[in-house]
Amino acid sequence: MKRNELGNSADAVGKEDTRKRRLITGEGAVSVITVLILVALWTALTDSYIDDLYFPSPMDTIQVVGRMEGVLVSYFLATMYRVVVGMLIGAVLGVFCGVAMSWNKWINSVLDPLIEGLRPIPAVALIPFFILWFGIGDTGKLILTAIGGFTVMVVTTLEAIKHVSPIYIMAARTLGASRLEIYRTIILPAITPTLIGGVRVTVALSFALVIASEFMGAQSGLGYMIMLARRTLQTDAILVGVIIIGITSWIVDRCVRIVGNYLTRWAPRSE
Amino acid sequence: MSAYISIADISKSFAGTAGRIDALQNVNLDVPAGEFLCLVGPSGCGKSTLVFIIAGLVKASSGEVRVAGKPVVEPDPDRTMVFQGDAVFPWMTVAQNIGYGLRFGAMSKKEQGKTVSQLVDLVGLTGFADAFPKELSGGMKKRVDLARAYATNPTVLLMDEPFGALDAITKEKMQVDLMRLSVTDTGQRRTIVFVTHDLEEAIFLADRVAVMTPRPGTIEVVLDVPFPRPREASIRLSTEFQALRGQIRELLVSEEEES
Repeated sequence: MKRNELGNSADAVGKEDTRKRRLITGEGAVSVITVLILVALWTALTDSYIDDLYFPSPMDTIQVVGRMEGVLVSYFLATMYRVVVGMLIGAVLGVFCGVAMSWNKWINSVLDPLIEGLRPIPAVALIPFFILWFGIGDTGKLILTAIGGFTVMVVTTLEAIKHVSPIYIMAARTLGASRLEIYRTIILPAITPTLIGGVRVTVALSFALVIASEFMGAQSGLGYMIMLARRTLQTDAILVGVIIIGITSWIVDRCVRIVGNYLTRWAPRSE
Repeated sequence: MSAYISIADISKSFAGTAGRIDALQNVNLDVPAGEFLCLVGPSGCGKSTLVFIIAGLVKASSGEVRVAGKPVVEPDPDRTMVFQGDAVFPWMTVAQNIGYGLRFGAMSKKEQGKTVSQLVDLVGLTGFADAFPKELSGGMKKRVDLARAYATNPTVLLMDEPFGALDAITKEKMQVDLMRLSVTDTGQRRTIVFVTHDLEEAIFLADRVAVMTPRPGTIEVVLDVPFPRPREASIRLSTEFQALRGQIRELLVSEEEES
């Protein structure tokens, strides 16, 4: 009977795999059609009613990409560097502080008022200060992005630790695990699914913070490019910037999800 | 009869939302080495609390528990526990779960692996060593839980309604396995304190059954279970078995009426 149980679930996995191997599923086809209709509508509208000045046509947009190729790549890399490095610093520090605060009540007493004071302030409101203190280079933007990611991850970590089922901790204690071992082998894996959710929020926030800080003062980056294009009314360049940000943000989120799914492959999922 | 676990004057009260709750009051009980003792009693009588105190997971308000002469102050892998709920770590494979208590001991990695694979076979999970718990049924998870508690080769095994959530047939199988496995590596019988509300389970498994009173819980009476071992599942149908079951039931019913 036990054998059968596993046999059946193996069959189920097999079916899922063949489904994934098919190039396009029914649902996938519908999504592709939706996108095609939108592009067609976009072409039709920009050809007739909408002036190019307000919204560029698909052809204009593609041509702009060709024209700006070199500078586009360097701006893209500048923005990605700020997003990824800032986010990583913030997220790692956030998780570390969250764990430290749950580990020791004195650390908690010191950090809690700082974090609670920082949390209600939208990080974008700090941009003018950061430009004043650090100029328009990378430093201020990295710190700003790190602060955003830090506040999200520290709160997520603290909440997640609070909700780890006490039965796991008790079981580990009866088996001889020390406090450090309980944190390493029980609490960290138990909070990972929640942390992945926090990282996804952090990705979206980091893009927003980097673009906003590039709007207000920068010499490179996609946000800077959009601002320049706005001044010269190059709506096609603005649109290219927006599209690249959208696609990149989606790809980064996708990567986080793939890594996250691997790290939490043990977790039961409702499909 | 020397006491291996000696429970002396244990009382426990909690601060509840509706004021102070006295869970246990002056509990005295001696469990000799190698005995299988079942604790039965009405729900809320503190039988689980008592087991948590023996485990060292909960501190008594007053009184002392000694195991092998030493006072219990914290959990120890020589006193492992199987919980009522699902305590199998979902992020570890079956083998990692079973070997969890071994990584803190002196055993070499190689020996650990050997012990774990023996236990996997012993509890009937051959072929599932690398499976994650989400792929297992409730009964199979409980087997992992049991094997994990056996792995550190404890002299005391504490069980808090471990089979409460299982269906009748699985439960019977688990009970038979438990009896088969309740000896240490050196052939000594483990000392087991087993909480249940299932009277048949208690009589089938136990050398003695301790009946507790409603809250604040205390030991009302300890009854001997005279059936020789090994016991067959069919002894449940014998007149003696049913008579003992009736006797304990009467005790619990009269408690209910008094309170």
